[in-house]
Amino acid sequence: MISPFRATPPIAPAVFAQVRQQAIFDCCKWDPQVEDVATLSPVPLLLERAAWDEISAAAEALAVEAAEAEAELVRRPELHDRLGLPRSVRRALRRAARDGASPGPARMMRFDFHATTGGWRISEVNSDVPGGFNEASGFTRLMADHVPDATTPGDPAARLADAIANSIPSGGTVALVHATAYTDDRQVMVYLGRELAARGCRPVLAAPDHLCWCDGSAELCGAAGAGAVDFVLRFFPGEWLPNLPRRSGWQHCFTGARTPQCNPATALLVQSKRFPLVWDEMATSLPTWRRALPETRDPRKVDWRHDNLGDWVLKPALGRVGDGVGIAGATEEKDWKTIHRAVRRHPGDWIAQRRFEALPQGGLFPCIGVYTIDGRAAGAYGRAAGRPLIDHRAQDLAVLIRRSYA
Amino acid sequence: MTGRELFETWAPADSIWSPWAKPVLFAELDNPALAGAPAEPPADFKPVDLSGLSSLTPPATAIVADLPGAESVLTGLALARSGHRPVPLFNNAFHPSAVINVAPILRLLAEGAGSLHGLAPEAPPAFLLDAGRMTANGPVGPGRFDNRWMVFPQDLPSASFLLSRGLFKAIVLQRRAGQPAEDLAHALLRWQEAGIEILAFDPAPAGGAPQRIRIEKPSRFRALWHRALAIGGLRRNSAGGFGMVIPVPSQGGHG
Repeated sequence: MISPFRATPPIAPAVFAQVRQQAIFDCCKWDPQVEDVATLSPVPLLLERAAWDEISAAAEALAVEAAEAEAELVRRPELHDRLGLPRSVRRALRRAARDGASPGPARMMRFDFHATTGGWRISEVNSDVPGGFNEASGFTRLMADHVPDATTPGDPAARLADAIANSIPSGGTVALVHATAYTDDRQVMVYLGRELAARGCRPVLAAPDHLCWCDGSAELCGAAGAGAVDFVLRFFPGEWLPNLPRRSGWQHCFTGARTPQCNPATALLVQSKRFPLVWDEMATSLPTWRRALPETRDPRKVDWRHDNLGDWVLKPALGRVGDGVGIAGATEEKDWKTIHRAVRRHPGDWIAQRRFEALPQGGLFPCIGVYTIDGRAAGAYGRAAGRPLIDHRAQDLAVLIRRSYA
Repeated sequence: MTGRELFETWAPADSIWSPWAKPVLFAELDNPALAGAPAEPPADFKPVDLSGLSSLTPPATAIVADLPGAESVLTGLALARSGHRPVPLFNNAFHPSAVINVAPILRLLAEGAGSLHGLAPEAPPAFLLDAGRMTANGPVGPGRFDNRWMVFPQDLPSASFLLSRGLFKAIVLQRRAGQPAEDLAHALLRWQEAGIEILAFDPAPAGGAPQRIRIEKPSRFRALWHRALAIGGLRRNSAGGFGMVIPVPSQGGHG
């Protein structure tokens, strides 16, 4: 594969200092530094138009297939045990199999693309609660103003807000459910809340157990106010929901709700990294997934004595932001041993994914998360790291498209 | 003064330590509900006495002020007068019914901003933490907003960065003898292992001189999942707990 990236100089330091302050205060980017890493990069990731067309089309195809697969998996509880999901989640999913999944208009997903020697590959989908909206929308727009002949690939926060606003009555109440004091989460909700308010919605920042459910309809209770909710936008991982008291009615995120949600927690069925392990038993055809996702195995199906250790990446079934991902040579030796020990003890909670050789750009390994909203590509979240592992130390990049080819 | 202007005063572009300043509290300054919150320092507020630090040479010393919120800010302002750059690391949000009232911190940050001018860009850092970050003011009860927080190694510069700036010594200002708070110990032990000398100092009027301490290994030190588990644990404890409004029992369970 020829590199799809175009080298571009960094934004001038004085200008970038202003961009950073704007990102913090106008786009709610409240975690601009992690240890010694400035998380916002002054160097944009410039893509050729043809490359964007390719990955955005692939993301749309992946989203359609994922939605079909999820619908089938909801009806196939006999496959749930193999997805590495907690028992309480599986119990809620069995009810969904019987009663149907909760409604989910404004469906959002994010597919993480990597340019590799073998072409574009995805490492995973974030189909439950993808983040990065502040950077993919706000920061990217700020950067685009300073890069000649470049345009943004879209505004996912705006498209998500459009989709929600269009699915509820004018002036409707949207509960933005998240861990309210956890800054990384709160910043996403505050930013999306502003977008919703700009469209005439009434956003309410709420905690997960700040929702009550009455005959399947969500209501606000407690310090966030009171009254009916027209839409629930959840930014609290689905696998965490069982930590809430049973009386909170968290099961409605899976089944039995009448209030529309983004996303229904049945998204965990596809979010699980073990999703590929049940493909061969499904009726849904997944040609784009089979092409884009590297070979995935149960760790017990890898011959660790003969297969080269460096050929595989170990991932927890429900890991997020690179937590717990093991890559020989990229992961510190001590962490690698910890991961191997965890895999030996709980292999059903892990997968081994065939490693690909990512193409670096400017000494960094970029990852482009392509958002889809209701199956349509809506923008991109760029991240990059000095090693081929994207975790919380990665830098955020503005993904831009060369305008001259637009 | 807006939140952005205040942040730019506390984290000016020319200071090498500004990137570590946490912006979330400054963003809250424009929250209209803040006007109604009590902003007086708490009743158990103690004056700080930094005379015991006078023998230290600022250019070679980093300071971590792990003191109750208002005291931490005032200590930072006092340290600014002796040539340190105070770096606010307060990382929680404001809410009228929060279990930690951040209004006194915000008020002092605003009132003290005027005295921060004239610091050298290379002034050594004084990182400001709220020692009460995990302690609720009053009962953590139904309907209250739980805004407790923790500090992680990722919230501070690495040891190699400090050493590269000639900082071979760090003094922890704390109202306790011996070991620092456990969450902070994760960062301090990393610094110590890299060769930075750690001292503890109680800035009470009779606090004495800084004492060298050996940081004990905290649980899950350098553990792969330390951050995820710590955050996860907090969330689990608070369900309702950390990061959410604790539900009123009678209002839940309609499901």
